Amino acid sequence: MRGVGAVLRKELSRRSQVFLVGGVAGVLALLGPWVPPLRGETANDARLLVATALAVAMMAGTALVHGATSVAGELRGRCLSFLFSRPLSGTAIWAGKSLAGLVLSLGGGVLAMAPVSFLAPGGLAWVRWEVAVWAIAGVVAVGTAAQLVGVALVSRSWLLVLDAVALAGAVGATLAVAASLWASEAPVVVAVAAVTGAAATLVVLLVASWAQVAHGRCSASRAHGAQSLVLWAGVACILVPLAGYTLFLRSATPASLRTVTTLQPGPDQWVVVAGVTRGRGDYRPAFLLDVASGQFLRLLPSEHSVLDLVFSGDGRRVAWLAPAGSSRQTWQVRLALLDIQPPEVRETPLVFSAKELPRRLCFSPDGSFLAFVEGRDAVAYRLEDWREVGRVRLYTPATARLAFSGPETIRVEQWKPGGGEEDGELTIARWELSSGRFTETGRVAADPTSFHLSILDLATNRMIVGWRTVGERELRLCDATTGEIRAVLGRWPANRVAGVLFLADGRLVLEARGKEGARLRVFDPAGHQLAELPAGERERVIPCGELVRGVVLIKTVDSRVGEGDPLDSPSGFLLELETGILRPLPAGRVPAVCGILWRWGGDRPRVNNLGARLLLTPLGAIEVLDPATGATRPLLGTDGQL
Amino acid sequence: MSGSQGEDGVGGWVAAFSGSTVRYRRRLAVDGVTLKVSRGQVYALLGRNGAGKSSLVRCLLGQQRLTAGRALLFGEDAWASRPRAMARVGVVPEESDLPPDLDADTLVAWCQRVYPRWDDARVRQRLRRTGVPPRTPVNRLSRGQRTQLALTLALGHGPELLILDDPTLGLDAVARREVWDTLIGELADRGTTVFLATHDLAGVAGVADRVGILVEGRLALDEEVDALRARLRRRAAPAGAPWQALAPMGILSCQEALGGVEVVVERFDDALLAAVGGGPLEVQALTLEETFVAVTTGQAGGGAP
Repeated sequence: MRGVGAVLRKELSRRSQVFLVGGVAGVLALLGPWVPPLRGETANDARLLVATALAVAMMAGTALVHGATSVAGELRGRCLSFLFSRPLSGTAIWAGKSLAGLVLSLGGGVLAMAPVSFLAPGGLAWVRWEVAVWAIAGVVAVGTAAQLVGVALVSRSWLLVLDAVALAGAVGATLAVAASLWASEAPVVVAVAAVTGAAATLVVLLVASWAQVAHGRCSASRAHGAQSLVLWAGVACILVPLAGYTLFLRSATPASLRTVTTLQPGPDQWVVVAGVTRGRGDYRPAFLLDVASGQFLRLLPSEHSVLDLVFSGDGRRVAWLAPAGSSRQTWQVRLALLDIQPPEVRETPLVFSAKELPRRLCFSPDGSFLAFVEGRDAVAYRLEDWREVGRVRLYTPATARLAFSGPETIRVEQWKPGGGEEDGELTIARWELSSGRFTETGRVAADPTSFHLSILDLATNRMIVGWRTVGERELRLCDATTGEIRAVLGRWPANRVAGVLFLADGRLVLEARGKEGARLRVFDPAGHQLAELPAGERERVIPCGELVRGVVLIKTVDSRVGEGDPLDSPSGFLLELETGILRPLPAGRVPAVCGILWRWGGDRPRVNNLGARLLLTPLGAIEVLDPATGATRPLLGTDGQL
Repeated sequence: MSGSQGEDGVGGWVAAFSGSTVRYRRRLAVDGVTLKVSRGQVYALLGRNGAGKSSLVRCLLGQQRLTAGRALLFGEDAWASRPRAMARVGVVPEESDLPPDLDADTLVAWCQRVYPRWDDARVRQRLRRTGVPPRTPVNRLSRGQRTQLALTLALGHGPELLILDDPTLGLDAVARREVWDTLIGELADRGTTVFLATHDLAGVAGVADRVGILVEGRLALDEEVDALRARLRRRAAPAGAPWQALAPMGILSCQEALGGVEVVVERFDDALLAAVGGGPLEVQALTLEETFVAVTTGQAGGGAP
């Protein structure tokens, strides 16, 4: 330590004028309010801004100059032997010089900040440990890098060529790794990789500068050789594992999924799935997976990059919205389209700015047209040639809902505000793409406080609309074209009704909650109640899908405390509507399409489609239920037994 | 050569090279040099420019690594034990390596903290005696003052070994004299061992006990000065004298001089001279400079181990 102190003292003696400059900069910062570009700021802010700028400049400049000259300058002037002919170890010389650079840089910066900090109200707000850590890291990085570059230039060795090649390679590899990591949209992984990489690089820089001094001693060429060897070996030791990890990250397959977090089944055997994989942090890869064969396509960089996703009715196509970079002004989104057979992602010409992000994607039944809400308009495209085939202005785009009711006919449902604050009506219109005709077919008078369930069953041309009266909610079964009320399904206290499911034979099932628990009510197609089934009398009983005709998958949830029976975990059941018999699903399984996995919206699964057969296990795995036998087959998750 | 502590002590050696080779890429600067510097000895390493003297000095100081062989200081490898060894060594380099923007006072104060045994009073007295201004930055001192300051700092901690690399290079006659006087004074006071690489043959002649002469990286001669003086002689003979009779003593050169010839032999022997008929008045010892010229021009040698 005595050696370190001696070298530190010598370096400080030689460059003590840095403190004087820092002090002068601190006094100059008091003149901040008179700096023309800062006249709009308060005097306090102006002084702080100038002081901060001068402090940063002092620190960066001092670190740069000291780093570039403390060793390189002495090697060039043949002065380094003065220290090496004393009883000082190479490590002490390196540490003393490095510490001097840190003390000079930070000291200059602190002196530049000091007058304003003590004179201005709140001027000491910057005195925080995070600031200290960043300042030290920055000064060490700049100073050490400058030291390495300085010695490399002084040596004038052929190693400079090697350095240039290695630097280019390292920058290229770093950019490639960074781009790949960034595209994974896993902020924790990116942050950990960035912090680890930066810290490791800082350590490598320090070790290289130590090798330069301790092993190079008084020879510039030897110092250059030592630093190059350590630096590039160290950089390789950082980049190779990082690149390897990035490859590992991006090589995830559906079999790597440990827990499924997003599940979007198509009409038949294809499913879009995303989730957590082992050892990959918050990276959540998404795949298009063929449940039958296990064939998969790495669909998206991450589930986080999907803003909306929809299958076509025939299951041949998938469309989604994904970020497409950013311009100077705004963030951009591209509409992506995938033809499933054979799997091929098609580049589309549709790019939208963040202000006009499309919503409510919907395919025509055969997947030939795609419609969505864009800005204030509903717009439709023919996918064959990406031609816009129609565009209509909407009353309230935020409430609009589009659905193809025929090959080239779109049902448009939207809220039309009335003259008064609480007036308005739900309008239903038919939009014919071939002729461009937009015809209002029906309306449902309501006040804006009415909630709009908008459960639509196009097959039977019915919809359910919820009305709110004082303290209660009323569900009405309406004609989906005219809005005409067919039946009142019932009234329940507010927030006590949810979960409506249209069955294949026209009946409908809804969940109604009371003080004693939730029950399922079964209605005929005309809206007359056929039965009320206790279905376990849990707090919530959610109808999730129709497995086969007359058999409904339900999920029950209860947060109340039972006697000896933990009620709070969700459970899954098969309910036979005719008999009311409730059969539990295999231990802990619940229907996968209910709840948090249902990320991108869309309609509930139709009868006997893939979505109705997917079960979620307590560990987050996905299984497929065989409707005939009731047996389950593992599909995804918990160490990816596909 | 062993590096054991047993060889480092009274009567032992304090510095040594063994088969030492230094190569700069394709150029061989030092070729297999082996020599020892005994305790209390003043060893002068002589050689022409580029002969490899400074390379050997840097290797002995642990500032440069040998390509092959060993450099030992106090029985330990000079590269590996440098910090420990430097506590016992004083160094004056060929070119001043003093920090140019610091003054003598600051440097003395700094050295006092670095060396546990530092004779501050003696150092300041020596500075006053040599006229080095205490508050003038090094870069504003004359070359002679810089050398005096370096020498004073090198002696401040009472080193056991003083290593000097051409300390009088570029100095005028007065400054050179002052440097040698300081050195002689130190030797008289403390009997410090000195390893000295120099061109200044006249100056070193009065202080060196042993000389080594490097010729193109090889040690062509390594011998005690007294033995060298006794061995290398010049004889003046009248014209027509049978100077060939001196051949058994190894004739190095024979050239015409005023009224006769001048013969230089490398193994002078009184008995042999008497046998061939000559008087002692006709024989002179060679000066160090003459010896150096004779050796470096390839006419003499054989003293190296």
